Amino acid sequence: MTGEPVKPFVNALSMPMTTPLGTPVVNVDAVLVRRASQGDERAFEMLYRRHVARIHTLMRRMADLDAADELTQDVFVRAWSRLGSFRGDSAFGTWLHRLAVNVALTRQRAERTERGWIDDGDGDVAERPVRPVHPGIRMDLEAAMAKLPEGARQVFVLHDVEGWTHEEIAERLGLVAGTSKSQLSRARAALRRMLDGH
Amino acid sequence: MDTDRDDLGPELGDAISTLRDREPEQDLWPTIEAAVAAEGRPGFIQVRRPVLIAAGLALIAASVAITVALRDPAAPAVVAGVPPAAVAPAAAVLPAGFDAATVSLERAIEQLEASVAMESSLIDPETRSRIDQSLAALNGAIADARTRADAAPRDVGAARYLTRTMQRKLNVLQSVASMTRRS
Repeated sequence: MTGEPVKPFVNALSMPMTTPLGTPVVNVDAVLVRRASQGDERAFEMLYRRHVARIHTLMRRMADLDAADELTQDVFVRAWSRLGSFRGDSAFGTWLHRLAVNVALTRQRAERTERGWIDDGDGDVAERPVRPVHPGIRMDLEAAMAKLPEGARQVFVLHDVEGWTHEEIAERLGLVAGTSKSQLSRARAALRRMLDGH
Repeated sequence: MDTDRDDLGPELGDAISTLRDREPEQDLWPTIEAAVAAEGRPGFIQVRRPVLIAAGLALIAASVAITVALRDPAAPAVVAGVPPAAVAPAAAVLPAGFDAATVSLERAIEQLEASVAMESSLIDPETRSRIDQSLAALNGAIADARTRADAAPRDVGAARYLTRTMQRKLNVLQSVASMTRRS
């Protein structure tokens, strides 16, 4: 998330975002959401600019680089059409994040059905080759995550990167918590091997 | 105490702490803006009905053709002697009939575009101008997707991205067509 795109909005409102001591005086997202839900597309664009890096990164990790652009677009289009259902019970970023996970999982379920004749599905991590791109050179975590099977990658991203609990993951992915735990364990073992360059 | 976190280990924990969010390489807003402009004010669900029977039928035919093409188990998607599960997506071959399916999709777009053009006088000039800008942005996105698909003709992901981008334009055109019907 970048702070840069917020400035024009702050200037437009002629109000400070923080006190001289740095205490927030206005919830920028809340103001933007209110304006966007009244049909203000510029406000929605500012929400997009504030959150796109976070959502695109999540989509890249949950799916892959090729699909990330399109999934991110889907997330924001759906967010626009559902702004009326956003009650403000949680932060807008949290609401958007949940929506993004739903979009990614829904798309992947559909694609799994669609391309069953191509995809290698949720194969066992231990059975997959987990060599680094260049033997002897440590792989960075983003590259290593991308090599995990879909199911293990999703559990790792949601649990270890995004901080979800196994119960939350199990509910969202349609698993039992034990499966989430075992997927996480396999994912971590595979990642350690890749990061070590073995 | 989260015992799962304890099991993470220092190396993996450190690696996770270095992860940073990154902006997409290209600005995705123009395509989102196009869809948002066609959608109208949020929270107001529009009843979308097929506006033109011919275009609607063409759309259905295109969607079915693409679905069938992508699901076609008889397509030459496997390397001889190698089970499908061992074939990486990059090595896949687009199923026969996929090109015909995208042509059907193009035809559906053309029909809807022609229909929308005929009824565009029912839309106020300002809205029409914004819709034109939105469609221009989508045309750019389709051109990009087509370039990607042409550069990697065996890449099912690139082909799927192209058809989805075209589908997005169809959705926008349908929304515009609905708008003209309500006018």
